[in-house]
Amino acid sequence: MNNILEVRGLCKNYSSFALKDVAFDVPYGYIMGFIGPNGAGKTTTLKLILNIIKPDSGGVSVFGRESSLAQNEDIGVVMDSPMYVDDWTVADVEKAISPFYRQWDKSLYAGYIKRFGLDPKKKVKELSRGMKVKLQIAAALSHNARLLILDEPTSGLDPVARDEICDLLREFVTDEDKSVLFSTHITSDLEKTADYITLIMDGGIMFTGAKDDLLETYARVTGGPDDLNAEQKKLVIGRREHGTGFEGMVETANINKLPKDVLTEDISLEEIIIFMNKGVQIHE
Amino acid sequence: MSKLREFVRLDFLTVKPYMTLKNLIICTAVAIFMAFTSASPSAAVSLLMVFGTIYATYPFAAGEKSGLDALYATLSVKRGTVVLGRYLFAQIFLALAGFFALFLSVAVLQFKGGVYGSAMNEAFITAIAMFLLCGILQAVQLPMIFKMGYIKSRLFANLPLIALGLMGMLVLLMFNDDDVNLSNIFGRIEAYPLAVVGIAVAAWLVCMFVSYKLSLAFYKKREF
Repeated sequence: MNNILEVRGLCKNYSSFALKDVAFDVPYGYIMGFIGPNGAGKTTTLKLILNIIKPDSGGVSVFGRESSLAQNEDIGVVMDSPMYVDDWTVADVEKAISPFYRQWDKSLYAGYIKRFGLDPKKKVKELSRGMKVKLQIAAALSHNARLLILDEPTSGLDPVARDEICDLLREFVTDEDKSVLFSTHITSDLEKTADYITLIMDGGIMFTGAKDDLLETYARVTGGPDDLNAEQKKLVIGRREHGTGFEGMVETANINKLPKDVLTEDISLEEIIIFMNKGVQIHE
Repeated sequence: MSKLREFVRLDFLTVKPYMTLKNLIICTAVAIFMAFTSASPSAAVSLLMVFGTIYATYPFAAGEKSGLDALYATLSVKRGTVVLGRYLFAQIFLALAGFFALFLSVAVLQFKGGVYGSAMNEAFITAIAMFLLCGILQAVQLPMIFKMGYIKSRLFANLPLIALGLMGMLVLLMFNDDDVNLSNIFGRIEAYPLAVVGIAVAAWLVCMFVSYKLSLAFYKKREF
């Protein structure tokens, strides 16, 4: 068994949104970036993995067994905003959650609190956004979790704080029995840290696999206004036309179907999301 | 079992920031004022236990504000444990409010002097009656909160409490003559203590059981 997490055909219907047949694997010892625009279904998927909500169909397997609430004991969770009472102090957070973890390590928590410069007497509501994320990370790393699930931990943080968090994640997966599933829409963080990428858009998975494979699957394409015929235009995903020409994304397998005049170059994760999202909207 | 114990402890930690010295002083001062201005300490006991009933719903308020329902899931706490734990917390909190009210009654009676034994008896019976009555009120409130959440259910969930207040006023008005007063009622209760206690405890148990089952069914369907 090479996967710490296996997600199979997850479906969840809401009145205004549906998660459709979401499936991906997170291998042991790696960081999986879970990317997509706001409202694509990232948080819903993570909540389903954590058994916070129930799926309409599909299933999740964690550590080789069917997912259950009990397995959350081995999962460290960092959410967009901390699920702690605003008036709790940093010390209260430990008092509140530590009894629920058999492997809680008091000295480890104290060590992270010190390393992150968190004042044990400070209330959660008095912490900056970056400090709140660090508090959650301290808690997530203090009970010997084998899988870290993070939901947008770096959004709203300055580059220094984001880099620090990315370093922590890389440090975590130096133990090859541990993995990270890291949801974000800040793709630059993933370009530095992620080994694998799952791209979700409008409730459906568009890509899942090695990050390099994704970056090699697509290329950025630009050209003049009359460079493409009607058939070739259909190959350009998220095509945006302007006065001097067009830009968009093309599958690398289709590059040879385009005229030689157009310019193709490497694409970034951010551009993939933007063009893919535009493509989905055009398709709709 | 240990998860249930830890969950009740977590609820106490959740309300801890609201249990400020200022709030305690206000509640105590109002209760002492009522005990001095009324003929018996029963009014103060009743008031403090109503405060206790109100405070017992605070974990819902704090939980909704901070997304604690999702936290419980990440802590591997089953929904059944959350519901049972919340009921236990509410009853323990109410009992603690009752003990505090009785302690205060003793202090006030010591200060006032006078008929210490019978007044203390009355305060004790009031505390037990209020524990059962407030428990039944909670049995009405909790399923509503588990179904709709604290904020959405606030109006409906507080109706039983308002009804209790109105009922109390009505009772005082109805028995506001020398022939039938509250002491007479306590006298009658004392004449048939076992029957009265038996009926009250049975009603409390039935209400709690039905309420717990409803809350569990509602909470299992909630999405966070």
